[in-house]
Amino acid sequence: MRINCLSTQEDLFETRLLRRVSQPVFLAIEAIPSGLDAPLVLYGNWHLQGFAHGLRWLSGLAFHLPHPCLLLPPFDVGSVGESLGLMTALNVQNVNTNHLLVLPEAEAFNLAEKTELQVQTDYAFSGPTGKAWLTAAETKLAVVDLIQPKNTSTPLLLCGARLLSASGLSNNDDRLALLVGILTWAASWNKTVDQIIDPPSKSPKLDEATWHVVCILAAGARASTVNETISLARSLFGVEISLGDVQLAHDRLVGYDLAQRIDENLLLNLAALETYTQRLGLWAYVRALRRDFERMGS
Amino acid sequence: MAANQAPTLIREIQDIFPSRATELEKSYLSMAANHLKQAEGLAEQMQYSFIESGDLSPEAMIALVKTLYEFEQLVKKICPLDPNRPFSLTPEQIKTYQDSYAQRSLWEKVHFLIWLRTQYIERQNQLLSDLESQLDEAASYKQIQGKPFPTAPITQVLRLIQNEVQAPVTGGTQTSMGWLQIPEYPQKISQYFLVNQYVDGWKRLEKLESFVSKTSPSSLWLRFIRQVDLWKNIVNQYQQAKQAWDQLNDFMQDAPENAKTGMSDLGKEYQAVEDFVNGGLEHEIQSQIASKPGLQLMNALEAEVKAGEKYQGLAGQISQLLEQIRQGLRQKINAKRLEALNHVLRATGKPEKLAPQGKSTYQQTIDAYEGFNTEVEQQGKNMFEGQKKLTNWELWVQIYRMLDEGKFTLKPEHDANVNELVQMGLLERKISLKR
Repeated sequence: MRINCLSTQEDLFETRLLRRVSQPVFLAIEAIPSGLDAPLVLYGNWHLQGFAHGLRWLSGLAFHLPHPCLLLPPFDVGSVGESLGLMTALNVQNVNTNHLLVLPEAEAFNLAEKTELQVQTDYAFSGPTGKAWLTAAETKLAVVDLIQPKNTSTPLLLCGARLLSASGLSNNDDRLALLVGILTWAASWNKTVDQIIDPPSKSPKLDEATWHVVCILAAGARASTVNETISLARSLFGVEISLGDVQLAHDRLVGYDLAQRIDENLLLNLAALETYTQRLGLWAYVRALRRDFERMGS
Repeated sequence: MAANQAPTLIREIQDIFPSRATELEKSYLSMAANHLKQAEGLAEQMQYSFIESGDLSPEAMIALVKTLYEFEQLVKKICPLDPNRPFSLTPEQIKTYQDSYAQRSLWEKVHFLIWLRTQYIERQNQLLSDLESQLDEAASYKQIQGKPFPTAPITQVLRLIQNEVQAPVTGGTQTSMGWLQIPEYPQKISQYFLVNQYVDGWKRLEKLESFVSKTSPSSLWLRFIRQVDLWKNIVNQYQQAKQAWDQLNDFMQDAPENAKTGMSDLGKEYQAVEDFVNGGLEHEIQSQIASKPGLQLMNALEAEVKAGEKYQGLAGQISQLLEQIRQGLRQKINAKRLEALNHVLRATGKPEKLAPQGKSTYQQTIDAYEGFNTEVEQQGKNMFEGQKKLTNWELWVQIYRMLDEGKFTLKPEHDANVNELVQMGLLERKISLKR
């Protein structure tokens, strides 16, 4: 399987392990994106001026590349949403676990119906941005997070697990399965096909970030009307959501059994929303919102 | 003399207790001059004439004692301590002095701070010398039995301690390296000293000493060396596994792919330990230096090394697989036909034919066993055919098998063959009473 990396990565220890499952072709940073002919896999100290500089460089092109970009450890802990040019927050946190849960979204990785993996993980992602495909078992924070700001964007996949590592803390079979699963998914990702297949039929143009914001507001602030959702999204997250998008999101809430439609109103299923937002790694936001709203109410 | 001694002593403590020194210099020296003046005034006021005159009026006596007491109190505040009794404390007394500092006399304050400074510098020097030698020694563990081993878990912490202990308390440039995080005493020693928390500063110093000690229960060196020893075991295990794996590979070099399927799982396991030992552990730890400062990196090393113990027994498993493959190949020798031949050879007084040992590769072994089977067949045929015998080699093998398995029943058409085989000494008849 052919992949692209930067020439700065050629002599890294991780490359030795990567070569066992793929054929990396190393490109000078100036050759990106024109020279890219396979997924771009970034790991180790891939940018000479450090991770933050690297992210800023990546933000301008990651979502327009012809192939997905995979970002593997190490990460700098803290907020990365802004560096990546995202509208919503995305945070990198330190975790220490080797117990990962595989969510149904990770079906594309062909993990032989495994629901749990033992792969040592040092970083996890939180915030309304992205779609969690694997989570840390204890914290439920996203460990593999798919960022795709628009349906037309090329995905950027963040993975906080040590995929290119010889650590005995990982089960080697699980590590290899996840590594190969991610690389194969990225290599076979096709922009045109994805655009047709990926969007749920009920909400063909809803961005993941918007969807997450609506979920947080529904679960945390019990926002169930269109106007309430738009105004809270603006005041709390600084995000402008169109009327059409909120309607699509509300349709999806109903479609996912996270709410029921009674006449024109939405009756939220808070218990289901709690579980769903926890699974997406959004629980911290929901909880914070709830606390704020409870304080205001008392 | 005292007036000259005090400023000298105060200047001595300026490097470690700058605020205290300034405080003493500014207020207490002038106060001492005042106290001295007041004491002189009191001395002048004292009247002893009533004692000499024998008129011991209680009022005069009370006034004299009172003035004497005030005089003594004033003098105590400014009088140097007895030079014949060296000022010495135990570490436990630091708290007493810290708590009662404000109430202490000028001289007690000065002597206490000088004592603390001297003790600190003495211990600081010892600590720095221990740190230096441990850092040197740690560098010699970068390779253990030819395999890279991470020394950062100990050197990072030692350097943090070194950085804290050797940095000047005031002035100079502090590096941005930071200092070792100890939950009970989170500030640097110098910071504790600057805010007059001598007990906490001292406790932190003792804590750092216990980390640097090579024998204390919290010794970093002991923790590090324990990991070195465990790592040696892992490297040994790997070297045995490598030897077994090389033997297996050498043997299987000419084997068909379908014969290698059993090697796949062990191969992955072997590759994992090979990566782990050949730079993997070092890489794991190096990549965690930024995210796991201080003692966390030592915890990470311990976790990684412990996890590496799972490869124990891999060499045995590989050798076992090779043995299984060899045993499997041995099944290719037609054992029953060899036994049938050897039965004939024994009866004719000839030496038995022995199966060959396995060869050095899979295919060579198969070739040897198949060649041997052909020899057995040829020799077997030679024993019967061309010698005007009724029984041929194939029939003998059949009869031998049946007898061996206890399934032989004499058929009339084999009667002549059995007689012949008895004559050849291969079979014997038993006669018994019919019941």
